[in-house]
Amino acid sequence: MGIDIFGGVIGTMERALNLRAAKHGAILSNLANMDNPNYKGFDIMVEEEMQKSLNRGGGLTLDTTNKGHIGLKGQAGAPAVAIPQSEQVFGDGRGKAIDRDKAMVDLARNAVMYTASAQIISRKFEALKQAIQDGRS
Amino acid sequence: MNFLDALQISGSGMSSQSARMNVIATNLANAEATRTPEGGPYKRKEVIFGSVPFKEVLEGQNKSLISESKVMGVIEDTRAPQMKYDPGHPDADAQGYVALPNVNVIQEMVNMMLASRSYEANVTAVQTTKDMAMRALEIGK
Repeated sequence: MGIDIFGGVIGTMERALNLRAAKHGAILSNLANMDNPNYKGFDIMVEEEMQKSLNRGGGLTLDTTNKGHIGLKGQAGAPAVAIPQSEQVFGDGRGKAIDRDKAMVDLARNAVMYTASAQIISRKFEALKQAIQDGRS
Repeated sequence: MNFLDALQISGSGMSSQSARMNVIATNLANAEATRTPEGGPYKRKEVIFGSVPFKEVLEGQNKSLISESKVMGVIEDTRAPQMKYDPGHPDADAQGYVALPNVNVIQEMVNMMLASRSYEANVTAVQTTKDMAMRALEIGK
């Protein structure tokens, strides 16, 4: 049985990067269509999705002793959901769900979190490299 | 979500906003025009934005939520022209009133600011996309 050296942190962070990139796409779409009154904005809840995938892989299980019970297995493979942003109608009904200030803050925050995940992967690779080279850097 | 697609989406937003800017500039430039090829005073124009589904946000989700922005068309404002009493004007009617374009300069200025803000938002988004792509490339360093 081999040791999974690339699985743990790198796998988790890879998923985080994918989700962050998807969220970035959602924010861009919202920003580009900000002035279209018929466009409905949407969002991707990265933190919730990460939590879900941790629950799936992290040895946390729920026993189902009754057929009414809901086990954690049921969540396996469930794709990340894009959640529509709440609809707000302003004044003449031409206003739309996208708050441009919130979108800009989300954009910056998401990029910072993406950078953080990328850095963690980078550090992990550095550590692996050091181990491969007998501790000589 | 590919970063090249991301740039294309922001680009679509920017081109929509510049189309809007062109229409606003036309309205401002013709705010006093009383003669047009189709006759009568100039009529205010407005752009209509549309969203074109671009691609699915996450793989396996069969719904194209990510949308590009697109200018669907330019419409004419149907409001009546502003009447100004100026009997000396060559285009004045029998009562001495001149029909001036239905352009409200203040409204156009406000619209211009909105277009400019939306454009800036998309430019910032492009910058952020570039930064993120560079960060991803730095993993291999």
